[in-house]
Amino acid sequence: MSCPAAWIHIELVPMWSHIKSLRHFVRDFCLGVGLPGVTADQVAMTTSELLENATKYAAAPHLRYKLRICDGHVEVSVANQASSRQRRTLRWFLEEVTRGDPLDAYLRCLERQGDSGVSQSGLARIRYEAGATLSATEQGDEVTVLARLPR
Amino acid sequence: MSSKPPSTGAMNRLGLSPLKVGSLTVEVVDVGDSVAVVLRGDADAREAGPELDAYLVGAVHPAVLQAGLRELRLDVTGLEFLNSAGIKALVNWLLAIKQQPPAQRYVIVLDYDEGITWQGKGLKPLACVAPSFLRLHPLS
Repeated sequence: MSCPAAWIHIELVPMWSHIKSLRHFVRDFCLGVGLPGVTADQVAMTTSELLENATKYAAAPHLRYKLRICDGHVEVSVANQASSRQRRTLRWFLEEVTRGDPLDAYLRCLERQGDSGVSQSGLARIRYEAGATLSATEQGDEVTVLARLPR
Repeated sequence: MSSKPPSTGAMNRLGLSPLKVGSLTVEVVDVGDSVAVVLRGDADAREAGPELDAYLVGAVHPAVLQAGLRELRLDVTGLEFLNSAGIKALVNWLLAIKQQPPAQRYVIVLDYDEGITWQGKGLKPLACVAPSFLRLHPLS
């Protein structure tokens, strides 16, 4: 089977109400193409956390969501436009959450003092809970965050 | 917990009204001499994290200290999804307990369902934050 065996590309306006809808849709899609329930749940959680980040920080009313189901792994990515300050912050966070053991990195994020109710821990959660590897690419003012999950 | 507390919406021993944010509900119910904080639904509304944080840290925590409870239950077995801001709210509650002198801390028994994927692995970090006063209790 060549990569990807199944895929979704969606362009959407960054609206909070879309996140839940897409989370449910993606989970059903994953189950429909034969992924195990646990993997489908982890892909759905990853989708939700990446979309939340993009919805909070998008500098333009346009997001691109991609899901690629491949042999041995699943890729989830979200692309959005972001200010240079937000791109710098994302680079810092990504370096922080991909450093060392996934649980230790997640705990560092969870215990960091910050504004109440603002977690800043979604990326660390994806790495810990879903066993994903994370990366980001930039093209002009567009940033794409990619999570690669084992299946 | 083997059975869920009844959902009556009635006032409890802490005198707290339920919280409802989007499809998330949080209710404090009396259980024996103590209380259970019961989360149900789906916590991914924009305001869910901040509202949950304010409710747990700003309302439940001081009320539990005021009532002098030594132990309570936190029941998430009916919680389909909790976003990272919601998990952070739970951690902030634990950190607030941790700030108390050891003699004033109370124990949280966390009832969860291993069959719900995010709960199986996602709640274990909480035990790392509060190993001495959080007990994980999987649904049997």
